[in-house]
Amino acid sequence: MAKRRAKVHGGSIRKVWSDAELDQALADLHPEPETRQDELSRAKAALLRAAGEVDDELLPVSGPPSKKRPGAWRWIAAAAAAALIPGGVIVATNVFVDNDGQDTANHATLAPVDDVLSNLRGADLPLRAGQYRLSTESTWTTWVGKTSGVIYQTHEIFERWLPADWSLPRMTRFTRTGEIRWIKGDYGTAKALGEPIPSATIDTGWEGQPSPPTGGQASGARPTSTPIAPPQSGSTTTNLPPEAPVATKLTQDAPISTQRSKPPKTSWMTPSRELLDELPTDPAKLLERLRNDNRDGEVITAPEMFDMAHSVMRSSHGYGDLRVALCKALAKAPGITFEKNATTSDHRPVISFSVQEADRIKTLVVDLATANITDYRAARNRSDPEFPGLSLHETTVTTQVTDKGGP
Amino acid sequence: MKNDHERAGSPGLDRPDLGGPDPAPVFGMLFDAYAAPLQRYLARRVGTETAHDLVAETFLVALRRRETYRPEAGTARAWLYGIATNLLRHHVRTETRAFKATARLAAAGEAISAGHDGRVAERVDAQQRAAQLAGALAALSEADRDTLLLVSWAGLEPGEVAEALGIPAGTVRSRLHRVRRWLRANAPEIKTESTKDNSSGEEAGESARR
Repeated sequence: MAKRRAKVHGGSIRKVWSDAELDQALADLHPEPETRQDELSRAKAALLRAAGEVDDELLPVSGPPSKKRPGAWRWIAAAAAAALIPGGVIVATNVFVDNDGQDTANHATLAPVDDVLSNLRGADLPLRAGQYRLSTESTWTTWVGKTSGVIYQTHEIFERWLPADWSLPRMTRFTRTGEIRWIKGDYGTAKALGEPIPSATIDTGWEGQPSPPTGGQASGARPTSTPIAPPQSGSTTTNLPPEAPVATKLTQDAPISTQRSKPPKTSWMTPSRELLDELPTDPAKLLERLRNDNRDGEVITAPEMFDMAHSVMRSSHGYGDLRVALCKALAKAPGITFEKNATTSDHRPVISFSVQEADRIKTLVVDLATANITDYRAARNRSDPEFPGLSLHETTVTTQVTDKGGP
Repeated sequence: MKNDHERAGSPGLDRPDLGGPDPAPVFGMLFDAYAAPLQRYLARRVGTETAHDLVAETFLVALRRRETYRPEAGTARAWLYGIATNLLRHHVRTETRAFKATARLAAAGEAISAGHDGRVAERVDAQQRAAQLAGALAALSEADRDTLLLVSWAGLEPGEVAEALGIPAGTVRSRLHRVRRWLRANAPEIKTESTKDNSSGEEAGESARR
């Protein structure tokens, strides 16, 4: 290898590389990284989803490229994902890659969507007179301490006792269990740095049209809060929250929303029996309603459509046909990514829908056998400058039949 | 040097017709053919995580602008790398910061290499050389760096680089020659020697900076 030197000044000399040395240095600099097939599958699914929309105006508009994330936060996202798995929730790993690691996006989007959705069934648990469907949403919500920098997840359970008769009010109970998963820091650190640590609570309330029944609660009863166990120093189960990434429905006027932007002015966010009866079960017509059903006449965006569908799906027990139609409409909705080859941690086949917001991606998972929501979650975008990919919340939904109308 | 160039299996993918009514199949094939090498190329430039976003964005931009693609003007691969190069413009500071950070390792590498056995020293030398190169790359103009790395890291032919960047092929070749000559002279470290060395090499005075 030829080595030459160039005189720079005085006693200093600079070696001059040969072409081979330069090429070798180029090869050694930032060696070729591994290709992440799951990331490519995700990107391909988004691309083909967009390609399936013939109207150019509906294609995703590329936003400004993201800043490179600080790598220090990657472990937090990984830790959050790992911490979620033992909770028995839907497997948080990439639903866009099947068990063999194959690129499912190939068939996911090129194959007709209807092939999968034709197998979707809107089964509901049968109810006898006086029975209720008890919907339980178990959520792990991630918090970042503003002053202490600690990161942790709190566990909340939201229960709704849904009668077959929609004219009846529905009792609800929100429980902050007090259980905490520490992702960064611990209770002692949080306490020492002045991070407020709230107590566990139980809040009961009502949702639905008229006043609640007489008896245990007065009409329009305010939620009650019951402290449970105080946090134990050094334990792994403490609690608190700075700013809720998800607002859980406790009252009639506070619909569930995982979106921070202003919700569209539509009755979809507070679905009534009249709305559920009136919504068409033809997917094409339903999609039209989704895209245009806004009282202020503004265009409904993909995240808004996603939230509207989520809200109705969540409250449409007994409306299996409507849930199926909603899934089929969402699968064709512009800006919403449909994934057909997903399974739950217990290997039940599910489908999922995802939507990208400015700072997060939200996912809704639906059981193929019942068209019921089994899981929904949100995570910061991978391009988030502070917390790339960090789970914001993850909720598992189960439904059972009970003879009791409340706790 | 390793070429990160994966040819599409179908010759039709070199210059496909993107104006059909259903773009999904052809874009699916384009993605299969070019996304992985594009991702690796971008990852070397701006890191893995940003590269994932850029790959997705590149193909979405390509889809949205598919009417502007002219097969007679260049290959689809060059067109895609051209889009990616434009998107990289938003990450110039990230890239140069990373190059400078890598360059700072050069001094550390020099200290580490002392006293190690031959194999370790060789590896450290390679790392150090790469770090020195990083410092020089940070000093290049964006256009020069794009040209060099599209050839060296993406494996594009100079003609394809010309198509990607929308400049004449002759300009690419002359730019490449100039940049490589500047790097060969300016990337290596400067050492102080007590004795005079009369061997003369290439002049280091020509800067590739614009």
